[in-house]
Amino acid sequence: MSVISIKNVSFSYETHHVLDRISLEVNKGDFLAILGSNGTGKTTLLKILLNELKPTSGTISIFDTDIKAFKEWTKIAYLAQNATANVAGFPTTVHELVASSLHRELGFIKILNKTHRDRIDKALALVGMEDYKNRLFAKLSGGQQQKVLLARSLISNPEILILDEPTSALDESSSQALFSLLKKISLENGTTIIISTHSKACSNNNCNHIVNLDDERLKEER
Amino acid sequence: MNIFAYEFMQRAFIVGIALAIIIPLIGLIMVLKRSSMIGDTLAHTSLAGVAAGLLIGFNPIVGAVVACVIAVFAIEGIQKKLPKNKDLGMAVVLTVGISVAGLLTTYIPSGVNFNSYLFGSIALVSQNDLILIVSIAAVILLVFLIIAKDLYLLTLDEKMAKLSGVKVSAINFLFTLLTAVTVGIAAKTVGALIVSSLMILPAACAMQFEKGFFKTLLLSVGFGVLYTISGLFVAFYANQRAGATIVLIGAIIFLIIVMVKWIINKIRLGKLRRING
Repeated sequence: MSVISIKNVSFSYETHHVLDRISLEVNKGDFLAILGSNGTGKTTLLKILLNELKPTSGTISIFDTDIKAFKEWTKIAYLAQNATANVAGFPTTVHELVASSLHRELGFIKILNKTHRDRIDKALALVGMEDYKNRLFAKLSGGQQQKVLLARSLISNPEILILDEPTSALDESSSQALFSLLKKISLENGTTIIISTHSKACSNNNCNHIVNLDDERLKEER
Repeated sequence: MNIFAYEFMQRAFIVGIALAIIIPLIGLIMVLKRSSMIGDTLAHTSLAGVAAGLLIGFNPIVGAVVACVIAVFAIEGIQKKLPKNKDLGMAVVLTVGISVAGLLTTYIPSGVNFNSYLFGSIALVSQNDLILIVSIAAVILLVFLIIAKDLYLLTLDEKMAKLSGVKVSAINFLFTLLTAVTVGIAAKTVGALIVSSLMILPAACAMQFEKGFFKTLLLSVGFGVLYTISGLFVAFYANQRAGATIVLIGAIIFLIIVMVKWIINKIRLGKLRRING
């Protein structure tokens, strides 16, 4: 079952062409890796999927609804590139950071109840960070910080999780560990995961669907 | 000589503690948003309102608050017109504010002590001032507590705050308004030229303890209250200006914390080196 359908999408930043008539089908439960060198348009493609950028031409459907009419954005979670850098140096605990993802669900007074606290614990346990909930985020390693941000994205039980180069600041073993964790989440929860990355080895080991973005075109590799 | 035997000192403690609770709350957010400059801008602009109040004959605290609110609108307006040079708005408003204050002071009748507003005169707070300042401070505290979690998200990551349903523009504006009113009511007591120091120093001390956001907020308030109480005692017995004494005590406490932290880190590093051979 297709959850995202991209048909003949092109995109240009003024005169600079980035994407040329690309098409892609993403099925439910897919763990999709978008490979490509720097500047090939991986982030642009993800921003188009998140409706932050409008394609010059072509159509996109999410859950069989045209992106222009799509309203259920809470079904999609997004982990931005360099997301850890935004939080670095800010005095916040892991618990506070993950809890902030529940902001929309909290009432006027915005106090967490037991259900909220249980969900935070569960999300942290899912990424193996339950023992770190009272630790300062800035004091964690890069890999641990990514896991916490992942827990934050997962707390709302998204059907689609989009990650923009989450391993760019990680070493090889931390990258492999994060990919394995994402694969586990995809298999156990049926979450559709779309990840842009440079890591071909990690993608080959963990992703069931791999595409390569190069020279404005998208090529299916697996 | 019992400090609390004097009514003016009782009022000074009540007003001082009320301000010591709200100023660091605003200050920590300003520090985290990297917009400490706005405190200085509003503090200087408040002097125009103070001068207008003294000249026309209404409460200078009200004048300071009105001047700060006008300044906020002016800053927002300039920033919208010049989005690429946001700090220009603050610089322009600061210079205009201080210039207007300078012009108005030439018309203030002699005998009226405008200088007391520069460095504060907490011991000269009247009963009416006390009621006004404590009431406004209570409203500021209530509004701050209601929007505290929005402010946390907004300060952490504005884009994410938007996605999480925070009304970013409204909360930003409300916070700037809270800052304006806080600076306005603090101008007379703490002093317009040193109120921004009282915003920054408690936050600077609290952040050295490396705690989470809400604990850091509480610590900031704790430091603000500590500076104020100790500052009032020292100022009373040493016959010094309260505002300046409070801020200097804050600076000394900050230096002590930084030094103690540095020594502890050195000891820890030495122990680690010994363990690792």
